Amino acid sequence: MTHLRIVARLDVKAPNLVKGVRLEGLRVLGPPAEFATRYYADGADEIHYQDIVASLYGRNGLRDLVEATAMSLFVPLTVGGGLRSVEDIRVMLRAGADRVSLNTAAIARPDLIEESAHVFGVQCVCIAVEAVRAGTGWEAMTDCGREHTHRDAVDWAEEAVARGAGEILLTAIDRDGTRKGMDLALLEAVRDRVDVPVLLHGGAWTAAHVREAAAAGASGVHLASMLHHGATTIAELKRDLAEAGVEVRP
Amino acid sequence: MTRVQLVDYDAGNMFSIHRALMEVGADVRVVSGAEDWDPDIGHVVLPGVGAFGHGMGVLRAHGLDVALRDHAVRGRPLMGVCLGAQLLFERSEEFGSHEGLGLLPGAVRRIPADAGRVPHVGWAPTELDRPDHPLLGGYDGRPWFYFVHSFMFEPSGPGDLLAHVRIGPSSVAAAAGRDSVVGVQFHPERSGPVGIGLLRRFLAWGGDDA
Repeated sequence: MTHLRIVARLDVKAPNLVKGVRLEGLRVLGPPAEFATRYYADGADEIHYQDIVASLYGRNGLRDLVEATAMSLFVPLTVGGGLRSVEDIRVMLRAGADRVSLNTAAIARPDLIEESAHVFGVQCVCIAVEAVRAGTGWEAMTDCGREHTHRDAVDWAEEAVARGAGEILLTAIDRDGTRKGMDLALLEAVRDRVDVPVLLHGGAWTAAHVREAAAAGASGVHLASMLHHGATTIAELKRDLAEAGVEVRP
Repeated sequence: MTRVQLVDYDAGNMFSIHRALMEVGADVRVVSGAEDWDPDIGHVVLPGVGAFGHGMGVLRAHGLDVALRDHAVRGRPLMGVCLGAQLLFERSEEFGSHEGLGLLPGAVRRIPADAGRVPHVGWAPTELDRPDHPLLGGYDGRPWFYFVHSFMFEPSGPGDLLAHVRIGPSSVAAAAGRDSVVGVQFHPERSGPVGIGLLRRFLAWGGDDA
């Protein structure tokens, strides 16, 4: 049985929590650790930190934030952005992360997936697929939605799992920050092609949006704007989901 | 302040469990070999993720298997977490057959294929088979814990199964124990306030089974 995982998603442009629309037009919201602490107290099942300028600068600048967070938050912590080698991943895990999320470096050099899964186990390796609508399908993007790969996003997700990804995180760039609901078609396209958990990100603003993602088979959802802008709290959302018959951790 | 010996044997990240033990007020001493072992410390935690055979090999190479057995024989609290819990059993069939510490009767085997997506990663509501156990008392209903594993332990001793979860049609052991030895498949250090509560009870535990 799967239980819907509610992941608090924090996009960070150090030292601030930021949030944009379709990965652009970033607005500064405040210190990420304060938000993370509130979401933990409120019942987040996982915290995800994404360094959204890391690929640009070629390094992840969140090590200290990860360490400070892991000192006081006792739920799984995932970190993504600019991680390019087994050594980069090791630094984050040592700082207290439980899992890493890879995109740009894994597309540039897919062997990184096998290498990191071999060293840290498949459960440590989440592949983030940033998908943008292209014709009848989706194209995988890199560098936080800035660069085209001309690769089919669904095919890439399937290849990543075959190479050892323990989890797929789908970001629907067209929905990010739009409040229009999640891309269920993207989830459905990937869900049946892989046998690992699939998380969905982008567009959730109401409890109904989250319920739809659960009904479409999401193992979890990444929530950002909805939490940062106070559309709901995680505790309220979970009560709503439980009443609707979606099993979530109380 | 309760002193805890935390066994470091090259089996994954120690940061979270170390921090969580400090959070509940433990004075944590990290020990990586028999020469560092302090027999006067009453509580021992054996954490770990990774492969059974490798983990057991490292414990033996550093004389920690003997130290752990001595500790248990003296009736002092010992808690294994994840791989550390699996190592408490007699044997494992992970990549061949390996002998474990043998402190709990039973074996470790792969989660059955009909249990759905493996590794089993995520939160699950846990059914308490022994709600009277000192480490599990105080929970209402089914506490949710965080799991990450591909293998599971199967306790064979009557009454040793303390808690389980359902994964698909399968029942998978979540906690097992006998006398002063207890093993938990889930990660209390990553299970929020519910897990922190369990660690707090472990520190307060004298090692009696009921």
